[in-house]
Amino acid sequence: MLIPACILGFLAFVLNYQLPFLNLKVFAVVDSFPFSKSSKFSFISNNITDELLGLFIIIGSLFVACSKEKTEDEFIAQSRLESLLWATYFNYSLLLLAIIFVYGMDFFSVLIFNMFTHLLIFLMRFKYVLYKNNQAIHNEK
Amino acid sequence: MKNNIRIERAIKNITQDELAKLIGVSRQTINAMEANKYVPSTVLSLKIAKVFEKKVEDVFSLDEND
Repeated sequence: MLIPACILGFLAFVLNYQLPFLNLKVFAVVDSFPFSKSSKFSFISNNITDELLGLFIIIGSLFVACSKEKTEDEFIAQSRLESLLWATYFNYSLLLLAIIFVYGMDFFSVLIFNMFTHLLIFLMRFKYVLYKNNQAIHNEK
Repeated sequence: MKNNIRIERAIKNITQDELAKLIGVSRQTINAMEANKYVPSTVLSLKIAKVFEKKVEDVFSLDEND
């Protein structure tokens, strides 16, 4: 679920594509655009492609992030926490750089990506640590 | 912290995998401890000492950095 959602999400972002059959009436707590009237607590019609993909990516990465390893022990748990801390630092460093160097509407896309990168960076880093430990085992009798 | 898990393992003639199964952890954990990359919790140290039928102090000891 995570991988296809990520790919689709990225494609939808790049091509600005929306599935036409997903035009639905949704309940909006707030809905506002610049230079138009805003509404609160009302039903509006909206294409929910991006909402669905965002949900899938977040739920998918949470599933992967929270699922246990085959033998989950204290060392794995420690690597997990370490990776999460590392991902937090790394993600915010990227965000700092983006704040300094990215301007205009491109900064908006940085914000969109930043919603998902924290968990994704965590997953990549955690799997990499596990992979490296596995390599260490194979070098050993 | 130093440990002589590897030596104790050789004395008992068991592999990393067998030791891991005996105390219910992953093989990665045993490997990381032997490489001094991971300091086990007290519970895990006690379990390891129990498998080797030794005191914890005989398996684990402080080193100059601690």
